[in-house]
Parts: sequence; C-alpha cells; structure tokens
Amino acid sequence: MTRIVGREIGDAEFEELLFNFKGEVQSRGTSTVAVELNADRVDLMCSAGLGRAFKGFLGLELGFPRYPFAETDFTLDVDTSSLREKRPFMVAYLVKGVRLDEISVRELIDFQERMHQILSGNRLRFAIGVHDVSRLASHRLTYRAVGSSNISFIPLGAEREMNADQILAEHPKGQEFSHLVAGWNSYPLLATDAGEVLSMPPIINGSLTQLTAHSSSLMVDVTGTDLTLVRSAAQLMAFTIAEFGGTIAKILPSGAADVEAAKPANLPEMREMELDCDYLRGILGLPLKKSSIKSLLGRARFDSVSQRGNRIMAKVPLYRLDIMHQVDLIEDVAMMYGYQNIRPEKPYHATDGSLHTITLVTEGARRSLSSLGFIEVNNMLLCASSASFWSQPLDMIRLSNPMSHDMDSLRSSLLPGLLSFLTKNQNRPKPIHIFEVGPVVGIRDGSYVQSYNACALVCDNVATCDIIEDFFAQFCLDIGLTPSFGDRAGDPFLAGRGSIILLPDQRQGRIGEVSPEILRRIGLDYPVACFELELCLPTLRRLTY
Amino acid sequence: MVANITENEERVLLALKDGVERNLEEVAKTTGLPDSAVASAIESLSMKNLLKKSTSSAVFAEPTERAMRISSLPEDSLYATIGESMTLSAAKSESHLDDQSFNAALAWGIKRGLIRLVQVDGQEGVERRIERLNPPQKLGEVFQRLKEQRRLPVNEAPAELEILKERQLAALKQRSEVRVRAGAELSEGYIRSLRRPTVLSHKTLVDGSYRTLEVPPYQYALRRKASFHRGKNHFYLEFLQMVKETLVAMGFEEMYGPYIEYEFWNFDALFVPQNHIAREAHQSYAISGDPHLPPAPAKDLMRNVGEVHAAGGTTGSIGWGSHWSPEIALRLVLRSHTTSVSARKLGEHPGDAYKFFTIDRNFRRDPLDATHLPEFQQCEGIVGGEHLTFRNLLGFLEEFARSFGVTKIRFKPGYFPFTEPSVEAYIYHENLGWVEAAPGGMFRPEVTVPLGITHPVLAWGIGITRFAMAYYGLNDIRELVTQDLETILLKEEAVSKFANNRD
Repeated sequence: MTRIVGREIGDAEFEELLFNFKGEVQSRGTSTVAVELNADRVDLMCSAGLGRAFKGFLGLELGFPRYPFAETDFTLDVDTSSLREKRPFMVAYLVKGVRLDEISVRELIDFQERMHQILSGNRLRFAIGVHDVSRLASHRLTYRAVGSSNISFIPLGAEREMNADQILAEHPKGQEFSHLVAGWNSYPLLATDAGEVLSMPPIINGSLTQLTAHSSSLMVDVTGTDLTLVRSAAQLMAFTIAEFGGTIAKILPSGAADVEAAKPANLPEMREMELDCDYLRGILGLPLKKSSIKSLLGRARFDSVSQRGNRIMAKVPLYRLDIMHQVDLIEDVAMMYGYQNIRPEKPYHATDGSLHTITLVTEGARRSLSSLGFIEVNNMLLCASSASFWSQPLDMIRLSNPMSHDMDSLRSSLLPGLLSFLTKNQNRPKPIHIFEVGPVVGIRDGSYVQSYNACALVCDNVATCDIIEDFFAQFCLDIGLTPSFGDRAGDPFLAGRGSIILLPDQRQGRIGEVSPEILRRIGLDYPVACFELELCLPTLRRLTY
Repeated sequence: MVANITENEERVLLALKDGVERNLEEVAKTTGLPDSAVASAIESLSMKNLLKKSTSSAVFAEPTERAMRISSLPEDSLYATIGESMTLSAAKSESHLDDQSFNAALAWGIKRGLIRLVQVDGQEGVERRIERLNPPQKLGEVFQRLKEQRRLPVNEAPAELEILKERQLAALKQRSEVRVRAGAELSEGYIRSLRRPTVLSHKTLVDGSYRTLEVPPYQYALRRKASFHRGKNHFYLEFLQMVKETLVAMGFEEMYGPYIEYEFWNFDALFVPQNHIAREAHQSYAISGDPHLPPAPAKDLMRNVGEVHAAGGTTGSIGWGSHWSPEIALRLVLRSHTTSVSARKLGEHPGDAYKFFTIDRNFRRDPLDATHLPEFQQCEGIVGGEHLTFRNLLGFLEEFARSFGVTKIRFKPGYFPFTEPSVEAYIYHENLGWVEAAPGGMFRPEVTVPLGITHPVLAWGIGITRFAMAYYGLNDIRELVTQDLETILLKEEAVSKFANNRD
C-alpha cells in the first residue's frame, strides 16, 4: 500500500480512508489486512485499486491516472460467427514492462477471482485470463470455437496434454465449470496461428502462458456473453496491472464487423456523463461552486470538462459500472467532500403523524390482555407446518425453499406457537396465562389473507370453558367488541367444549378447551382453555392506508 | 421482637407459667392437648425464646404385665387382710390369694418384717398364726406409683425399683425425655397479650381491635415469589411501540404492507436488477403454491419500470442494460425488506409533502444464530417533498438517534441499489463502540420516476432488531423471540428504560 500510494499510511489513517470508501477493516495480519468493501466498487477490491482511490481522496493525484499507452504488434482475429451462441465477445489488452513479485501475482489472481464472483456470476457472464506472453512464438492471436477433437494443450495444473473432453471430465477446473459449456460440440479457444494455446475460456488457461513473479509482458483477455461487462472487466484488469508499472496497449481485433475494431487503441476508453451542478446542489444541499465540483470529481479520479452554464461533462472509465446516472457522480462528489463534513440539517417539513388502525386495534388488545393477567409472547411468523397438525382456519402458506423443517411455512394461527411455548414452560407454577397479538397469513378461497389476531391461553390443573369465557367477556368489553357465538367448533377443541366466535366484517374466532389428544401429542401435561380471534382483516389495498 | 402465639402455644405457656420444669407428658396432661400438639407448640415456643427446652436421656422403670394384673403387692394385701393376727388357714381363704401368691406373700411379708409366723396353743391344738409386725413401708407405695404413672425415673426410688425388677414386676428401659420450663416466670396477662392479632384484618378493622393492634415492623428486601399469575407486555413489542410513538411525534404516518410480496415491489420497483444476488433462492424465500395476491402491479407501471431497468427510460440513467422479464417481476416472494412497503406507498402518489414509516417483519434466508434471525423487524421511513436534501436525511437520522438518547453519530458512505447518495449511520454504544444502526439514502430517479414521483424522497431502513439488542444489552438476538416465560418477566419496561436513559 505504501508503494502504491507513495507514502506511509498508518493504521488509523488507513481505517479512516477506508471508511470514506464504504469499507472497513475485518482483521489484521502481520503485514496484511483483510478489508470489507461494498459490491458496487469492485475496482477497489485490491490494494492497487484502493491505492488509486486513496491518492485521489488525499489530493496526491487528481483525475484519471495517466497510464502510458504504447503500440503493439499483437493482432487478434475473432471469429464471431463460430462463437455466436457461445461466448461471442472478447477484449484484450497488453501490458508490457510490469514489475511483479510473489505478493502482487497472488493479489492479481485473487482480484480476478473476486471479479468472477461479484460481476460475472462465477464466470457465467465473462471470464478473465491473464497471460505471460513472453514465451509465445507468434503474436497473431485467434479466438474462435474449435471442435472438441481439435483441441489439445497442457492446461494449468496438469502435467500432460489433454483434449477438451478430457479437461471437462478429468481436470478439477473442467469439472467445476463444465456446466457453462454443457451441450456444446465446439469450445471457444484462444490460440496463436502457430497453434500455441493460451486458454479455453471460460474453463482454463494453458500452462504455456502461466503467470509468474518474473513475468513482465502480460496479456489480459476477457471473453463473455455481455459486451458491456467484458469491456469493463478487461479495462479494469489491464489498468490494475498497469498500477505495477508498464505500458498499456489494446489489442484491436481485425475484421470490420467487430465493434471493438473501431475504438482507438491508445487512449483509456471513457463514457461521458453530464453533471448538472444545480441538480447536485439541490440533492446534497451544499452550495458548491462549479470549480469545487470539478476538483472533487478529480479527487474521485474522474477527468471532467466544464460545459456551458451549470454543466460539467465527466469522463467515466468503462469499469465504473456503478456510475449509471448523474446521482452516482453526485455521491462520489459527496464522498470526496467527506460525509463527516456535511452538516446535518433538520428540515422544516410539517406533517401530521399518526398510527395505523392496525396498530391502534392491536395495541388495545395487548393492553387489555396484559391487564387481565396474561403474559405476552412474541413468536415468529415463520413456523413449522408440523406444529399445526389439526385443521386450521386458513390454508397454510408454505415456503418452496425453507432453511429447515421447523421454519418451513407461515403461521395461519397464533395458537400452535403459544401451545408450543406452554409446553416449554409447563413446569412453572400454575396457572400460566399467556397471549400473543400479531399477524397471521394464509390462503382463503384461493386468495392471500393477512390478518392480525389475538390469542389468549389459560393453562392450569383445571382449565374450563367458564374460566376462559370470563376473560373473553372482559376482553370484549375492553376492546369494544360484541361478538356472537356460532356453531360448535371441532378442532382443536374437546368435543362439545368449543365454539366459533362471529364478528363483524366476516371476521371469526374460536374459543374452547383444547382437546386432550392435541395436548398429549405436543407433550403438554396440563389442560388449556383458549380463544383466538381476528382483530383486523384488512384488504390488501387497505393495508398501506 | 414481639412474638405472636397460637392458641395451643398459649395453653402450653399457661401450664408452665409457674416456672417449674415439666416433661411433655405432664404438660399434655395439664393442657388436655395430644402429645403431638404439645410437641409442636413446644418447638415453636422455644424458637420464639418463650420457653427453655431440654432433652435428657434417663433410665425408667415401667410396670410389667404381671404387675398390671395385681392391684397391690401380695404381702401388702396379706398384711391388710389379717388384722392384728389371724390363723394361717383363715388368712389364706380371706386373702383370696392362690397358693403361689400366698406363699410369695408370706415369704416377702416375713422378709420385709411386716409379719411373722407363730405357733399358739389353741382350742384344737397348736395353731399356726400370722401376726402383724411393722406396717408396709415405701415399696408398696412405689409399686402403686409405677402402676399409676406407668413410668418412673429409676433415680426416684432406686432400691425399691431394683426389688420390683427382681420380682419381675418392673422392667427398666432407657428413654429420652423432653422437659420444658418457661423462660422466665410469666404472668397470665403477658401470655394473653401474646395472643393478640398482629395483622390488620377485616375482623380487627370491623371489631375495633385495630386500635390496640401491634403490628411488627416489616423489613422489605425485594423478595419476589415465583408466581406467574400476573400480566406483562413483551419487552421487544413494547420497545417497537415506543419507536412508533417517537416517529409519530416527529410527524410520521404509519403504513403497513403485505408479508408476501410481488418481486416487483420487493425488487424491481426498487431498481434491484433481476440478476441481483439478493433475488437468488439462497437469499430470499420463495412461496410454494400460487396464492392470488390482488391487485397486481398496473401494466403501464410495469412497462415503465421495465424500460428503466433495460436502458434507463426517461430518467437519464443508462439502466442495467439487461433484459427485463415481467414474469420474474410477478413472482411472489416473502418480502426481504420493508422498503417494498415504501415502494407501494410511493406508487399511491401520496402527495407533495409527506412522511411515512413502518416497523414490521422481514425475512431472509439467514441461519438462526446469536446475531441472525431469519425473521426480523425493520424500521422503514420515507420523507418526500420538494427541496429535500441529503443534509435533511442526515438531519432526520440524527434527530431519530437523539430521541433515543444517542448523541454520537457518524455517517459513512453506503451502497444500496435503490438509493443514491447512500449513507450508513453509525451510533456510539457504551459497550459495543460504533454500531451500524441506520442505512439510508435518497431514492434513485430510477425508483421514483417510474412511480410518478418527481420530488426527492429520503429513505432509511433501520435494523431495529439490532437497535433493540443494544438497548436491552442483549448478546443473543434469539432472546427477542424467547421461549422462556421468566425471561419475559425479568425485562424492564421499555418506556421506563427509555426514561431512565434520559439525561
């Protein structure tokens, strides 16, 4: 890091710098430090990238780095027609005169893997190869799909020549990534016209061009299915290597059909994005001058050109995929200004506050039940479908990808969770009175239902209808309900001891003594009487009002 | 301390008020109480230091069965029968003793010097007669006492009891004996005073005896009986309620939304690309079956959002540059954040100046451990209106933190797909140091424009679960869904904690 930034950086300063780039230190080794960063800034995920950013933040270098560009005699022939259904895009850079060591080689390889993980879906959308091209006899490269039987080379990590089928079947990398080329009868191959194989993307590189600490002529190739990603990944990898010295050359493909062929080879490619300074001031609430904004863009390592009026044209390197809209530039300006330098301002924004009806109704029920001597329980909406083994008032919603059996569905009633709670606390002095007020969900007549229920349980040596009825009557008085009783309820009650509760707006409830079969099955040794009712049954449209 | 005594204890004390030491049997006899009742009264009184109890071990004589069959010693009977003198034959018939007993009576009578045998010339020749000598001494009396009391300490009459033992009229046994006496000589009045009630009761209140009631002082010590017949609200839900009230006081209106959500509202409307890692099956829960969730997002809204994803639409953004599938947007998901509720709210075009919040459940496929729950609460807020700035957002976050007594807050740049600029507010916690507390930002134009919103919208989603943990000093997040009744009972009320934390 010292080498890249150009001056000593202490631990505290490093953490402070990192903080300003959305990062933090995870752990420290003797000479290394593990850093956590956000997925939006892949370009920072190596020390070279962090150094590039820190130099800007510290004002040591402004604007985009002046990487030296050079000409090259390498040529590239991309046979797009043979690759069309496979990985048709390829972008390659040459970086010559690089000074590496063991640590920087390891870092480059780690960086490459991080890009695969974060941007590519593990080589799905693109695959990067970094080669030492000093051993190549020919500088005329071809990228095309080749029949399996015509591919034979020594892949990285192998001792002998293997053909494509052998690599996919036997080589560890082949096995790991064979799903990316499943069903193909020819495979993309990067080779020279002398038959020297650099790589079989996206599976494996050849051992001929293996990168070492002594390599100084490096080539980056990125192949893939998404041209935008391919171009930005290649640029990011090439510019990151260039942080270790050397000159950059883009290897232009021959063939007029290729969009890359029209690009100039001797400039870092940039997108242009217009920034409206008034918009920036409005968003940030900071009265920044145009020149200050330009300077802050420079710290963020953007070159920019002043336009007429309040406009600035910023040049965005291709690898800054996170810059999609000018608000993204605005955030970078704010970061360079320093979040800690932005004074919070409490807005005068007069609005009337209010609680939602659901909250008011559930709050009334909670107060009533606790004042009646019930202790409130907080259970999750996630539950085990096996705990609701009797018929439920709503059809249960099941998850198609549960983490475990005890959380494989969503509760459609509060009762099973509270009975389970009782089982775990049944050795406490009796009586035990508990309740819960909260959401349940389910399906009724094919449609999703989200209801807010209240459920109260009495557990004692004797827990009969009249005991729970007494509580229920006072509860109804407390919350202003005048229910009526409908049919006798079957499940989960003892025959003849349960009843349906009828409420306005199609709401329902149940009250009764829990059947001994259920109690025995869940391992509860004491009788339970309970009621559960739907306090709020909002339609979906009403939920957000 | 003035002791209070029971009726039985009172009777025992009265029996002992003269200060004389007695054994348990004697007290039982005087009071007419069963031995067991006396024993328990003695135990209790001695604990109250009202009497002294001693337990001793001694040898006792008890009458044998044979002793119980006879009314008195045979020689004593004989002595009584014969008057001054009587012929042997007359004495035998008068005394109603069988041969064996009569012979024993003669032998013991002579041995003890009660009688003597003499030969006298009578009308029918020489007569054998029994004459009285000395009256019976202590032995008979001891024998009578033994029969009456059934138990005599040997040391009361060692010689006599030894004889009775030899004659198989007494058996000696080792026994322990409880003996008690009053701690001091007690007046009857004092004893009666100990019987006065010492608690205020309905009876003492109504009969007027409360006027002379002497209640002992009580030393309070926060004794808590393990009885669970009491009500209590759950601490975490109380905490959430308090947060809600704080937000209402700041002018926020509450909103709710569905737990099951269209991916459209959970992701697409929030500009989360369809290939984003958060949408993969290992991060979000998918719903089995196909519940109907009306109303579906409007067609033109779907089109607008799709265009923004593909190439930025009319927002000035370049978009994600990838194909956008309406089918994916209409899949159902268990919502992974409450930001879906904000998106729905913005879709309703809530006006030109508003503040909304929701505090509710979200679901992620996180394994259950000390720091993760697959279901957790988020506190989501949006503030919309003209001229709102990023500084205002920081101002809201600061005000919110301050309302919970947090004075140290710092802001770090953050990243969320739906906000830009984004921020993560860190609050300073006494024990934990800087804690990530409130991620927020300004909704991207890619989010607001397709929903028909043209003004800035400030948004944040506070991980209120973590906040609650810090608030209650919990080390394990699972305590918020505890299955232990005692844990719920032991927690301080959230409002009180809030008040106590205030300066």
